[in-house]
Formats: sequence, structure tokens, C-alpha cells
Amino acid sequence: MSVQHKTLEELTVYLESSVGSKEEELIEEHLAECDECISSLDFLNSLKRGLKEFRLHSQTFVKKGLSLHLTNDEIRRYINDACNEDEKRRICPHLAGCDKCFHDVIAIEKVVEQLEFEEKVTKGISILSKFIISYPTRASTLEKEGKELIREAVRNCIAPFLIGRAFSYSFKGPEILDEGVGKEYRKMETDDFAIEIVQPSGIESNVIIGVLAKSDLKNAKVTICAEEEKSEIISLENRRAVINKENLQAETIRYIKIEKM
Amino acid sequence: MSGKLKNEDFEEFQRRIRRGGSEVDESKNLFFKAMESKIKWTICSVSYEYLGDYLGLGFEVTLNALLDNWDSQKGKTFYSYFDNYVSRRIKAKIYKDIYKKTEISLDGLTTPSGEDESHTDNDFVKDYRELTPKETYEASLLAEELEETFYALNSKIQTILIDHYSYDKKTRQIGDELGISHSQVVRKKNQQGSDALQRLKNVIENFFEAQHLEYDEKIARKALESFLIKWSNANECST
Repeated sequence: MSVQHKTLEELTVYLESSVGSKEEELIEEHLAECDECISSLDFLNSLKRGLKEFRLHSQTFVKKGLSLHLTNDEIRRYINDACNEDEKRRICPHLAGCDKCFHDVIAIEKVVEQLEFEEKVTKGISILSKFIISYPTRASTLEKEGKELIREAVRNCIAPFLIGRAFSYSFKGPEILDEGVGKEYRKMETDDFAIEIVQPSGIESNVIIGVLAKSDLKNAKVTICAEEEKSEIISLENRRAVINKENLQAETIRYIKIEKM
Repeated sequence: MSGKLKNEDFEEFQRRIRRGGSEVDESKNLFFKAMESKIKWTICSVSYEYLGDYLGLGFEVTLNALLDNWDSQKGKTFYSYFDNYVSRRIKAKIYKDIYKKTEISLDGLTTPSGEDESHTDNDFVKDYRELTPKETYEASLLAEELEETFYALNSKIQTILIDHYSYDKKTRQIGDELGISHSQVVRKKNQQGSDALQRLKNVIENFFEAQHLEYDEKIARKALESFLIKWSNANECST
């Protein structure tokens, strides 16, 4: 008989594994002779039952409106492990009983983790932009990451409009420029350029992008990313250029990158 | 055939069933009848809810053990072979099956146990279900310690435990949700999650040790199955 007891992870893998696998047979040979590991199986099963009961119980509180949905501040503090035990005693049961808040927390945790390891700014912008589109009411939970990303983007000649709209104090718009014409306007600046987007309200599939270089330049490379990235070279006159884009909406622009040439 | 059987009887079952033919069904039935009570106790020690559901599985594992593994020449009676080997195999299979079930059902509780009129399933259930007032008190003390330990865990680990156990997600699914690979989740769980599981398990072991009590799986199970429920009741009052 093997004296080496199975770890709780090994037993979890056994409990999750498919019936009839070779690993299952090997572990069952050990289990047939080991009371301690059988007792660990009992522990894992009882824990699962306990946490399932916890969910069923918590669900009734959520359904009755006795457990309030989590605020963005609570979620952020919880993810940062900055909650005290009393706060956790409110948050955990709610998470166990409320699918919506639980999935929001998982989605936010995922983005935090991805942004932590993502080195490419444009990739980071895409990750955060997708999150903002899917979870608009939870955007403020990622304000810290969003502002850091904006600062980093601006240093890299990128104006992240979608994220800017959600977090940036340096972002202007959308605002109505001219009530008669009904134009919408938004603006961001990078270290080298100011970029403006005008969305005429009558022609929602068109945007006008204005570029103003902060130094004397003749040409620049512009990359616009909505669903996908598209690049072009533009000529600047008196440091300015106007780009007309069809089949594009201001709201869908994740970022505009302008590089000196 | 009634009462406790001798090894020769089990050898005879072995021979007849292995030989095949018209005697097989009758021999199997007699063998099952002889082992039914022991198998039921084994099932009840794991899951009183599913007694009816797992009787077939218990018969199958026990029959396989008789035909493929038990050797009377090695000196063990079939009963002791059952106690020392087969019953744990049955338990392991039941644990695994219950672990995969998503719904908790109490339907099996009222099912009578077939032809054996001397016991109903409820007799087996009763013994494993009911805790004395003292045991209930001990379970509530243990539940409090488990609850404190759970709420002291890192919030990420709490989320993983809730995702895995409350929402019934496999480790692979949790990895997909978090956007990390399966091996990373396993590693992560090895580092933090397993530590959390071990901490909860240690709470149980230390509890019995500190109280100078023998480990009692009924008390441990009761505490684990309800340690987070108590708070929810309190929450209702305070809300």
C-alpha cells in the first residue's frame, strides 16, 4: 500500500475526472486502502454541498431584495482584497446568490489580470474598450487602470477615445457643438498631436477627424481602430489635416494613433 | 439462505457465477441479499439521500470484487475483505458521482428498500442523519470556526471557491473565465486555493483535537454543510 496520501488537488482532479480513465483506476486502488483519503473525499464533498446550500440560501435573499447588489466601489475593494471581514460577510453571500454581480466580478478580475500582464498599449486599450462596451455600468471599477492606460497611450501617440470617454479628465465630449446642425464633438491630445472627432448627427455613418500637430510636420501616419486597425499616411498643411471617414461612427472608435513621419 | 454466511458460501457463489448458465441469476440474487445490508450501511455512511440510487452500484462493485479480486486462499473472510477494501471503493465511486451532481435531492429518503422487509431505507438514514443535541452543539461550534476561516480568506480565493463549489464550475472552466490556461489555474490553486482548502480541513482536525474528541464525520459533515448558512439568516435580520 502506498503511504503517500493524495493531496486535496489530486482528489479534486479525481472527483472531476471522467469515469473509466486510467488515472481514476490508479487513484481508486489507493482509495480502497486509505481511510484518510476517503475522509478527504468526504471533506471535499461536504464542502461542495455546503457551498451549494450557501448559494441556494443566498439566492432567496437576492430574489427577495434583501441582499443589495454590489456597488462598483465595493467590487473594486473586494477584488483588491481591501475589504474587512464584515464587508466580506455581506459581499460573499451576495456573490454566491447573484449571478449578475458574480459574473461582473469575474469579468473585472479577468481584465485586471490581463492588463497587469499586457505590455502592448494597443492590446490593453482593446481589452479595456471591450469591457467598457460589455459592462458600461461597471466601467468605473477600472478607473485606475483606465487612467494609467490613457497616460501610457498618450505617451505613445495614441488617443484612446473609447476609454477616454469613460475615464479621462483630458477628454472633451461628446458634446453638441451646434444645435442647429447637431454636430457631436470629442477631443483628445497626445504628446505631439491634438485629435478631434466630429460626428454630424444627420449623417451618423460619417465622421470627420481633425488632426493638429504641435510641431512643424509635413506628414503623419494615422491608424484608426474601431473593430479593426486601419492605417494611412496623411499630409499636413499648416500642421493641420482633416480626414473624412465614411461608414464609421465616433462611438466605435477605440483609439487613434498618430505617428510623426 | 439466512444469517451470516461462511467463506465456503461465498466460494460457492464465485464458482456458480463464474461458471455461468441457469444458476447465475439465482446465485447473484442470493449473494446480493447476503451483502445488501452491508452495502446499504456503506452507502448511508456517504449519502443517505441517494441510498436507493447507489444500491445498484454497490452490488456491481461488490460482485466484481467477489469475481475478480477476492481470493479465499489468502485467508480473509469475504466480509472482512468487504470492510477493508470493497466498502471504500464503493464510497469513492459514490463521492465522485455526488460531486458531479448539480442538484441536491431528498427524493430517495422515502423509498422503501425493495424486498428486504426487515429494514426500510429510513432505518439506515435515521442513524446517519440524526445528531444528538450535544453533537448538534459541537457541529455549530465547528461551523463558526469554519465560517471565520472562510471570511478571513483572500477575496480571490473566495471567488474561486464560490465559482468552483457554489456555481459548479470545473477548474478548467474557471481558467477559461479568468482568461488563463488550465495549468495556470491548477498552479494557482496549488499555491493559494489548496492552501485555503487545507486551512479549512485543518480547522476540522484541530477542532476535534482541541476538544479532546474523536473525529466524528457526522459532526464535520453537518458543520461543513451549513457553515455559511447561519450568517445569511443574520443578514436577513440586519438588512
